[in-house]
This record gives sequence, structure tokens and C-alpha cells, in this order.
Amino acid sequence: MKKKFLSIGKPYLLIAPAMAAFLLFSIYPVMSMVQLSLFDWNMISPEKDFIGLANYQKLFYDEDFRQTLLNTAVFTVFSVLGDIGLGLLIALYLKKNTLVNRIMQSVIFAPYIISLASISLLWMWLMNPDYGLLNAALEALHIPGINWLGSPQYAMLSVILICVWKSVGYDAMILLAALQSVPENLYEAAALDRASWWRKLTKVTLPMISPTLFFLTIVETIASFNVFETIQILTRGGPQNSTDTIVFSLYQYGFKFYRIGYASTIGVVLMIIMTLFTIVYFVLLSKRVHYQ
Amino acid sequence: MKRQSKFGALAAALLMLAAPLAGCASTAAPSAAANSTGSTGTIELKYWYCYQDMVAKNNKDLTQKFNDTIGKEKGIHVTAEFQGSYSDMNAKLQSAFVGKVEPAVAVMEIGSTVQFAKDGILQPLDGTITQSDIDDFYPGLMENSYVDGKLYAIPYLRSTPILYYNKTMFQKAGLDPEKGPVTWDDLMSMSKAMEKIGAKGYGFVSDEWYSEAFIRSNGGDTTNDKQTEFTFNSPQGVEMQQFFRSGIKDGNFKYYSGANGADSLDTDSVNQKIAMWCGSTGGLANTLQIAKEKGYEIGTAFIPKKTQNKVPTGGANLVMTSRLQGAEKEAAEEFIQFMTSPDSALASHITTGYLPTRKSLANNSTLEKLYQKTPQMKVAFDQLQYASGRPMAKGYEEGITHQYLDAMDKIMTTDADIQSTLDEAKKKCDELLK
Repeated sequence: MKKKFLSIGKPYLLIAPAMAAFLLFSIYPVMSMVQLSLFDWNMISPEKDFIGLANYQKLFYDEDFRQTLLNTAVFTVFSVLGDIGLGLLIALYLKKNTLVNRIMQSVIFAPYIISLASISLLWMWLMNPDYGLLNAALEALHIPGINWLGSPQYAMLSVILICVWKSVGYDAMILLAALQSVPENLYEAAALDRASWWRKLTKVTLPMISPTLFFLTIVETIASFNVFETIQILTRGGPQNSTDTIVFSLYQYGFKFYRIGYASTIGVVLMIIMTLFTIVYFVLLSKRVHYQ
Repeated sequence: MKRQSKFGALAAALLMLAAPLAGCASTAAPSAAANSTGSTGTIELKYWYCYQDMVAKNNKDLTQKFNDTIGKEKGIHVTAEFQGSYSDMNAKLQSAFVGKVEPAVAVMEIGSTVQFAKDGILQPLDGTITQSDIDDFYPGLMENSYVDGKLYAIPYLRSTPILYYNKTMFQKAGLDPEKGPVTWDDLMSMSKAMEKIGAKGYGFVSDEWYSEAFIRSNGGDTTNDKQTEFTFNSPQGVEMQQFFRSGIKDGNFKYYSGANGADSLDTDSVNQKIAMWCGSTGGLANTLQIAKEKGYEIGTAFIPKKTQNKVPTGGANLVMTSRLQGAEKEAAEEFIQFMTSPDSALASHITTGYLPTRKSLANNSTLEKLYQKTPQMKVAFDQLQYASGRPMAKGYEEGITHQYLDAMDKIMTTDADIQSTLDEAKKKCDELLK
């Protein structure tokens, strides 16, 4: 009897430390966020007004929040596409193991390991409308300069550009590793069947690296959806809310305007969106992913 | 043997479980010691300040002086810590208070006092300073200090916005370098005159404080008297936006948009690409020093008027956090008294350019000599007679920075209709004041 209890209890005992940390640092904050979203509170004041779903109602009719959602979606779609698409192209190009390619690998990976603050300062300088290198280049081509980070039309584009430039090296490296692990005999078999380059890519390469693509898509989507530091340093959500993303507006409401209830409501909505995303990904994409 | 290893695993698991808890406990411990009496009997206090350059130097020098004199005598040691801009300070102070690691004394942007006092983060200072001492401060500087009739903040590094202009460029463009613009029309024509030397005239960003100044100088304001409603869409407010927009179009103004607009404006002013801009008088010493190094001269003037001279005051007061009591509170009071004393006010004024806050400094011989040599230092002080406080209502900051400045950016960068853009912004943020 005692022995049986031990054999049932042991696994739980062994995962208890991890579970405790998980409950304390993930589940508890989520629960208190959901609870806070029902209050009008500023984190300090002794008065904590219970207002039910009023925050959700307000959020639903908040035009700025709709803009924020749209901004986040645009940012996520284009930075994920850019990262993975460009990353794949670079990986395909670098697949052949030559000296030049090995040097290129380090060069392309370099931005990923440099701190975001330094990169942002560098790009702010490149994108300066008056003295920046990018506008100087445009003017040399007789194209009028652009206010990259300072105008609502171009600010989001600029931010995406910088983000893709920074993280494309990471995607390229992971994809390169995946490409190099595709068994050579599959290509030999395809070559015997006189498969074209395109057929080899779509019928051999992509299916074989699909777990990696799937992994990258999820990781990049979650990262892009939660973008914060880039926005904080480069644009602070402006101009005219054109780069205000969900997490940045959450920060602003919570820590700049002291409306922790409203900020929590945004947090809950963000959590729901992320959960839906993950479910959709696993249901739809996992069917098409080829695991060996 | 086997049994023992099982036990070992269990112990390890328990240890891992305990580790994060221990981590919590150890991070909580210093909070109690944040402002505390050390083992040697010295009272340790934290003091938080904002901004770099001369302002940081002033804060550090005065704190050092306090530690070397009164602090040494009474066993108090104050550590001054830099926190960034005013809005960084507000966010950090709020978080620190929740985490029980708040400083004893902090600088506070004058418009934020109500919020922090009502939330119970600050404690009243009625006992800290005598009435005759209070009466020594200029009344315009005390307007943002009282919440529900109690004194919560004592004037420290206080300012008014002033207009800076590049005298050297004025001379090159054929203008009198001793005369800055007095009216809005002057601002426009002098700005236009800079076309001759291939430079821009007046440079500006979307900023709440300078907008308050220009609306007031046109006889309007950003809110009604009771601060229950925004009024930046009044005829005076619309006229102000119209003035700046036409300045960009016809008056050789330059508008800097985006989060880094203010930095670009600074760069342009140092590189003599613009001839006029608004700034706090608190940056005057720094600006004069840069001008000297770069070989040009700076003049200062009142904020140009349309119908009247009227500006908000600005800058920071000193506040004390609410958990302090007993000997630590007394020590913090000593520190606040020292930092805001006439001697310190004089030193701060000379080091940074912030206002000489006290009436007793009016005929000070050191200052008279200083003003003869650098009359720029006196402009903000002369303007003080036309200055009043800033709106402090809860929600004002969010409304003005989140909606109004976005509307202004839209007006300056597009052809959007001014009245309807401002009406829309008002509609979005009026509920914040209720």
C-alpha cells in the first residue's frame, strides 16, 4: 500500500518544484491580472473601485485601442514574414559550406547579439531626416528624403525594417542548421527522378524543415506580438499612435497614466489573442508539419 | 544506498522549491533598510532627482554640501540618485512605493503633486517649514504646492519657459541681436528673416508646457478654471495652432515630429540651423556653456505674446514620502530645509539657470553682478510676475500628452481641419477630468 502511494506520488513530488515556480510566477500573476481588470485602481490608492466589466466595455469602444490592435497585427505579420522569408532565402544561399559563407554567417548573425539600445541609436542616426545616411542616399538619387521615424506613414515601416534587420540572422542560422540536416540521399533520389530545382525545394526541402519553420513562426509571432523595447526606444508609440502596440499601450496606461485596471484589461485581451493564436497554429499547421 | 539517493533527490527538489522563496525574502529585506538608521547611528536617506548636466551637478553638489555640514553634525547621510526625466521619475516613484523601496525625498514635477498626494505617497510638510519661510517664496511658485489646503511640496528647481535665440545668427541676418521677439508677429517676421542666411527661424515640437504658455499668451488656457474640462479647442487655442501651421508654411518655422523631435531640435540649435526655440530657464547655464564652446552667443526673451504676457511656471518641488516617521522624518526635513534655503536657492540659480525662488534674494549683490555680466539669467525671473501654476487635475497629464499632442502633431504635419481635430481630441479626453 505504502509502496503504491510512493509510486503514484513520486512523479508529482518531482515536478512539484517546477510547478510551484510556475504557479507562483505565471498562474498567480495571470489570475491577479484578470482580477485587476475588473477594478478602477491606480495600484496605490486605498480606494479600489469594483466596476465589473466596464473596462472591457470601454476598451471595446476605444478607437485608439482598435488602432493599437491594427498596428500590432501589421507589425507582427510583416516582421514574421520578413524574418522567416528573408531568413530562408539567406539560409538557402549560405547552405554551401565555403569559407566566404562561413564569414557571411557571422556577419548576418551579428546584429542579433548586439543590444537593442545600441542598434536603435544607430538606426535613429541613419534615419535622421536631416543628417541621416538613408536620406542622403535618396537625395543622391534625386528622390526627396523621408521622415522615417517621425511621420505616421513611414514610422511603422521603419520599425519593422529595423526589427527584421536585427533578428533575421537568428532565423537564418536556425533554418541553415535545419537545411544541413536534411539527408543528402533524398536529394539524390530526387535528382534521379529529374526533379526540377523548384520541385526539390517544395517537395523535399520545405517539408523536411517544416518543424523548424513551424517553431520559428510561433516563436516570432509571440515575440512580435509582445514587442515593447523597440517601440519604447524608437518612437514611443508615435507619431499620432501610428506605432502604438498592445504591450506598449499596456505599459503607458499602467505605468504612465496609473490606470492599472485598464492596463490589465488590455493584458487579458492580449492573453486571449495569444491563446487563440497558439490553438489555431497547433490545429492547422501541425497537420502540415512533417516530423521525422 | 539506493534509499539515500532517493532522499538526496527529494532534498534537492525541496531546495529548488525553497530557492525562489528565499529569493523573494532576500529582495524584500533591503526595503526595510532603504531609508534607515545604520549600525553606526547614522541615518541613511535616499534622494531622487531628475535630469543630467548642470542640473545633476547641482543636485550632487548640494547633497554633498549637506552631508559635509549639517549631515555630519547631526548624523545624517543622504545619497542622491538619478532617475531620468520627470515622467520616468513618476513611474519609478510609484513602482518603488508599491515595492516599499521608495526614497525619503524626491523632486516632483509641479503638475504631478495632486496625484501623488491623494494616493498617499507623499506626506504634508506643514511642520517642516515656517509660515514666514513660506512667505519668502514668490506666490506664483507656491500655486502647485497645496493639496486640499495642506502643503505638500516646497519650491526647489523652478522655472518658466523662455524663448532662446541665437544672437550671432540675428546679427548675420541684419536683426538687432539685443532684441528678441516680443509678439507673435515678431516671432514670425524674425523667423522669416533667417531665410537670408539659409537657416530656419523658429524651431518647435509638440509639447504640453510650451503649448500652455502660447495658449495663455493668447488669452486662453488648456482647461477651464475648475479643471473639469479641456479648453484647448477654444478660439484662442485654434488660433495658436493656426499660427504655428502658417509659420511652417510661410514663416520659415521648423517643426520636429516624432519621439526624438526634441533631440533633433537640440542638435539643430547647437549646429546653428535654427535661430529661435523655447526652453526651460533651467537649461540656461548649460546652453550658455555650449554656445561659448561653439563660438556663438545666446539671447533670451519672454515667451512671445499675442494679447498678454502669461505663462505657466514649471520645474520641480521637493516632496517627502509618507512612510517616513520619527528620526528619519526629522532628518528628511533637515535635508529639505537645506535644499530649499536661500543659500541653496542662490547656488541652484547660478549653477543651472533655474529661478531664484526667494524674495530675500531680490537685492542680492552676487546676483546683481551676475545679471550685469549675463542679463540672460534675469529674463525668466522678470517673467515670473506673469506666471501662474500648471493644471494638476487627475487625468490632465494623460489627456494633454496622449490626445492633445497627437492632435497637434496631426495639425502640423497634415492639412487636417484644426477645429475639428481639436474638437475630436477634446471629446476623447474630457472624461478623464471627471
